[in-house]
Amino acid sequence: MVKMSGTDRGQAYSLEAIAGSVIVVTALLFALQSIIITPTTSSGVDPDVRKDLRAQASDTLVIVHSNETTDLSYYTRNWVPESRTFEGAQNPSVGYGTAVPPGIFGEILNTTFSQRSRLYNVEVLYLGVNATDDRGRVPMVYRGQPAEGAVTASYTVTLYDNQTLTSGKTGTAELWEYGTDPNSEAYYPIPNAVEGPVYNVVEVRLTVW
Amino acid sequence: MVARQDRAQLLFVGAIVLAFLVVGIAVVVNTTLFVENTQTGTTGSQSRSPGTIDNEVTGSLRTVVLRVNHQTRNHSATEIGIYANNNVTRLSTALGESYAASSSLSVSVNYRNTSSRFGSRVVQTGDSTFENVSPDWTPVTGGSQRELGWFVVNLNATESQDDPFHASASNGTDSVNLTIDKVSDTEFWVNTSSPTGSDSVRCQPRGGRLFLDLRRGRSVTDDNCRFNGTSELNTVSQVNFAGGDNAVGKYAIVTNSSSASVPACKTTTSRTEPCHAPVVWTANTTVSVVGSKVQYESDKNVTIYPSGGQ
Repeated sequence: MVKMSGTDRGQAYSLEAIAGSVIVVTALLFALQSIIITPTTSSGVDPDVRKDLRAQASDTLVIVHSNETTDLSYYTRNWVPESRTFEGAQNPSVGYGTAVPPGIFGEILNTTFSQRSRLYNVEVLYLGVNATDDRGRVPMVYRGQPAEGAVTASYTVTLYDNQTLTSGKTGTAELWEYGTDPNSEAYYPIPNAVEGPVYNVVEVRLTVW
Repeated sequence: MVARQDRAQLLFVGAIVLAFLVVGIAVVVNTTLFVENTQTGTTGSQSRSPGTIDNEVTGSLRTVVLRVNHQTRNHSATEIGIYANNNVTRLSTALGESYAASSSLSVSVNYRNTSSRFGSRVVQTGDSTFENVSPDWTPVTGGSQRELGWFVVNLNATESQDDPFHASASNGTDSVNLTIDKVSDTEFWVNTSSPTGSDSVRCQPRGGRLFLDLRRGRSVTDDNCRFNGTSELNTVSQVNFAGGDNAVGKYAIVTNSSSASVPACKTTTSRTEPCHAPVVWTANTTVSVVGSKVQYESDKNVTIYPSGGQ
């Protein structure tokens, strides 16, 4: 065994004390870091944040649908058969994609979500012709796969046979006059699924994360 | 008793134990919070209150019954009730499928014809002058106060004459007077005089038609055409036409009680002649929303047409 002098022993005490304090500080830092990234610190999966987000999404749909001229039915019918997507949209796969729908819907989505660094998707889900058919879906705004903690809000809109498409590029043809063949010049993906004056019952679904 | 040279090692071991303790607590707390969060609501879950669904369903029902009312004109009240019931049943099925697909809720709406109230629609469904033997006449006759739920004219811009056509609604005390003046095939002026004042507004036809909602005071075909409508009066006792030979087109007036100023609509009645047909004024309905945590049922009379000053 090596025998230490008084000076060496003092240095060893100091080194061990320093090593001990480094370990304690490291552990504290680890713990603090863990708490900072905990789900309760205003992230997307905080239940309260999700509750607020869901309320905002729901209110957005209610407000837009209460608009007298450009309600959700208007946006659902704002379709251009030639481009097989909504008027002003980028392409059929992503709809408006990184852009926003025109008018009040786009304004509210922008101020409520985009300006708060939120992402959202909007899609239209419609009934098939037969009751056994799965519901079809048309992306109105697609900005990617929703993250964990995403919330959705929906509004159910009824379309009627004698309504017309609302895009400026269509004439006065009524919904029942369109077809669901994508190769047709009169293509509208939502079919006439209900007998009588009702054309279809669609769900406008807003997903926010 | 610890030797002096062992104290540093003890301090070191103590620090390690303390460090593990802190890290352990952090992990436990973190896990607890994570589990708590994943248990409260699944990703993408929806929270649609029965009240919201009720509003959505009621709005759809109102529009369906309105369309049933205006789809044909040769039906009796019994027939229109059956027609309304059939279409509400189809609507209920479609709504039920839609809600079931997006949530675990079972949604349905039922219409009861026997408890519903009927009104009357004075209508001319084909293009013709707004006359009934005389160009000056009263589509809704004087008498008791009625609610006026619908008052639209759909004018043929080309066929209508340059001389003015007058329509007025009165409740015996106040009246709303509207004059539709054609300047050209593409320009009309609507002059109004009502308890709230007088005004003139330019209204443009679209596709050769000038579609005016005289009740709400606006054109369906021209967003800039806004004027004082008959909704300023809560009830009316009569509606008059003057200069009906100057207007060519279609019209419809709906009140909450029958008006006998024109004959009842029959299959033999020409589309260019005015007649009256029954309409469902208030639909007695039940909206039900059933889920694993919700049991909601609402019996109510849904007013198909806006009433009073709405």
